[in-house]
Amino acid sequence: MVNLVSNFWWIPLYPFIGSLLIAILRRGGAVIGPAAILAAFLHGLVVYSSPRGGALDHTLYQWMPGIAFRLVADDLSLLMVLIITGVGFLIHVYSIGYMDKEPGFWRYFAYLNFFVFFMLLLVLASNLIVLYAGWEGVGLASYLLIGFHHDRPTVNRNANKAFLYNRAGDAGFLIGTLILLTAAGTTEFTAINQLPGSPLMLVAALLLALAATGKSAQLPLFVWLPDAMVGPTPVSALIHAATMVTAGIYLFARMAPFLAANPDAGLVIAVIGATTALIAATIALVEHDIKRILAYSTISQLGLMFLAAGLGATQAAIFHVATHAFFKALLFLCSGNIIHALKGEQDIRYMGGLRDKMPWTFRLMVLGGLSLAGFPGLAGFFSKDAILIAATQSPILLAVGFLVSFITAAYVSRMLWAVFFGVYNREAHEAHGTMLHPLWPLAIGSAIAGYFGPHQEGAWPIMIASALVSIAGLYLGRQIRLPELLKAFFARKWFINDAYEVILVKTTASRGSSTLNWIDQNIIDLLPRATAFFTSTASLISGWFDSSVVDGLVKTTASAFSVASYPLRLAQTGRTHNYALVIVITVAISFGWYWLQ
Amino acid sequence: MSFTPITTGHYLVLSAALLLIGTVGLLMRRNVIIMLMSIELILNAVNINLVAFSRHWQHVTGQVFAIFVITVAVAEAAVGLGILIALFRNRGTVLSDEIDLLKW
Amino acid sequence: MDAALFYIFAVITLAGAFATVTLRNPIHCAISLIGSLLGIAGLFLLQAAEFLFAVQILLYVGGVMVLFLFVIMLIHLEEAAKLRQYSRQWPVAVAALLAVFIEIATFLNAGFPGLPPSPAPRLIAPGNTERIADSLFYVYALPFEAASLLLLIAIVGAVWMAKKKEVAE
Repeated sequence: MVNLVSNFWWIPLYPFIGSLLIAILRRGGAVIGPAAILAAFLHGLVVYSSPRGGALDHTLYQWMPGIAFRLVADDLSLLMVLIITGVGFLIHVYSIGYMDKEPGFWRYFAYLNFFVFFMLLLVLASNLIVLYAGWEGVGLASYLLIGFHHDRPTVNRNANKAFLYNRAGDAGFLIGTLILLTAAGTTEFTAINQLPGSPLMLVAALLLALAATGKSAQLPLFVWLPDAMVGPTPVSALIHAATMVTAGIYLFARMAPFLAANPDAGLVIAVIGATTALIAATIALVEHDIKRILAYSTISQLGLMFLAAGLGATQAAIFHVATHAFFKALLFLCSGNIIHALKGEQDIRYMGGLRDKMPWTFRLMVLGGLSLAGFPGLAGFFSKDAILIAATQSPILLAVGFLVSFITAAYVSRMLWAVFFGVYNREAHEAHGTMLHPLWPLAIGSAIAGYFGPHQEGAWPIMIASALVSIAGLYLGRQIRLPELLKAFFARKWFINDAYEVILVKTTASRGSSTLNWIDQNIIDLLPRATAFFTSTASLISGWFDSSVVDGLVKTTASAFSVASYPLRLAQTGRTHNYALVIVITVAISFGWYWLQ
Repeated sequence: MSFTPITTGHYLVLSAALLLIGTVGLLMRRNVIIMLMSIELILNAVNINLVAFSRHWQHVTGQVFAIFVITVAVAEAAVGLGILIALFRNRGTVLSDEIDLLKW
Repeated sequence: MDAALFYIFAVITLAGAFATVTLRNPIHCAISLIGSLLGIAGLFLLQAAEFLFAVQILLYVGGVMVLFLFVIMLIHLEEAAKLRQYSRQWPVAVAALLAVFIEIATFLNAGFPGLPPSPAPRLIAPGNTERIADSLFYVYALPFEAASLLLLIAIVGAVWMAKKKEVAE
């Protein structure tokens, strides 16, 4: 039989071929899509569970000295593979029901497979260049999927926004990569992770961190994620909860030794994470759109992962990535059920009392929400605690962590109460089939995944404290009445979006447009304008030439004639008398001539 | 009193003088009648010249030529006067300055 | 003797000619011209051109000048006589004629030695008229006929020109 272990590099190929097939056939997305992901998952499972004897790697193509198209399979990458393909598969199946009767059905699945291919490439990469390829690819796929309903008004703008903010970070990625390439001669992680720290390396690390903030929606580049919710809900579940946004944390995990060698970078990352987590949590508290609540929640949770990674607790960060994938995907898909049942309603103020009409969705969503809130015993509790334990290095960060946990529980409670309890006033029906059954594995994961994580030592104080915070938040979440000022402040997203609007968008648009205008006119249009200028000048000259020289010649000739003829004309007196004189004069002259001979 | 003998040269000088006087009259007078008379003078100057040379060469051809010149002069006078009369009838003037229809 | 006669006739000729071109009244000019012509006739006679002397008086004086006088009397020239007589171009004319005069004088002075001496004069010959007749009717018969033709044309032309044009226009 084929050696699946050593041929692990096939894993990305399944979705790639799937995507290609769907695109060529324009149909069969419902079958080919999930099948490809399932194949990848199974293959990954085989490789993961087989004895490997260290990391496997496979070089497909040596591009340049120092840069090769190489994939590596170690515990970290394989774990990510399983998360991606596992959750991905479930979401693919869910999409069959959710996207039913949707025009462009095949396009959706083609894009989705396309995305998974790049994500797998990203996590299996053994060097920064291949990772960058995956990085860019998922950005592209995200753009395509967010903009799936491209006939709706704001969709294209939001898709562009997502892509551009990603791109901004990617600039940092590229420069950082190039710095590392010149420093180490190669971009292989094994080599980079051995580089000693230095100011230049710090710069490179920060640049890569900037890229991570773009991809993982942290400060300063997070504003795209809430707007990305205009995409189909399964897309939000997969890309903007479970996988793509975790790419930043994965990068930190891969380069953990490098970050350790530049501790200041780690500090910056941690601070960014903590700050973002706090801001996002407060915004989630006042949001009304259910998907946006979950989006800000994702940003907040990613912030916690940044916090862990920055402090060097790579295992804790990846642990939380895994658990978060479960419960966040679950929450998104449940919300998808609700939206689908309410025929597109997403505002929680118009929901209520769905507990009876949608009992399973209710239970599943409560489970996911409690896990998110860190209810003791559930997966989220354990992974969050791991992060909090790592945060004990800094009291401030610890305090922020607890605060974030509290607010998280609060907004979860608020959301659940608003959606499922209270007055029932809408027509709704329970989800069924492909929109229900994929949720079970996610629920199970949300519940018990915590027990498979890294073992915590001496964590009891933290665990008790976080448990209390969680329960308090859940309870008070219903009761909290924020001062109007705070509410408004949070609702305006701390004015960050507005600040960006003014600083970046308007300035770039106006300055940019005037700069671009200048560039366009003077550089790009230089050739046509120069040509036009020369043509007009040439025509001017030739016109001048024609009117003054050519016509002048004609006129001069004519006037020469008339001028010359004037004195001659005077001789035509018409008087024979004068003519006789002329004859005599002529005689005199001829005589004189003859005489002089 | 004895003058120098008259040679042919004397006649030639006379002829030249008459020629010039006639030409002067032709060019300087405005009255067309007098211009015609000046032309007669010129022709006569030529005649003198011819006869002088006829005598010099002892040949009669010069005198025959002079007869022809007289003939032509007569014809020309007649026609010229006829023109003059026609001119006077049409223009009312015999002054050459005023007869300038051919002026540009 | 010859010389004296020559000078007398020469003076008459030149004086008459000068008067012709100078006088104001055309009738006076015509009379002066007659005098000049008579002087020329005398010169002819001095050179033993008897026939020509007769022809000159008959034709020129008796024919042409009479014609002139008739025409002068036909045209009322009293008004013209009161006007300016000399053309505006007279300075130029004088200059040109002076030039011509100098040239001719120079010619005469310089270019004469080439003239061979005349043979002995044979004044009494078959006779001047006979000789002219001989020459005219034998040698120059054709020009003679042409001249008569010319006279015919001149007559016709003159008559027609001077005719009043009743049926013209």
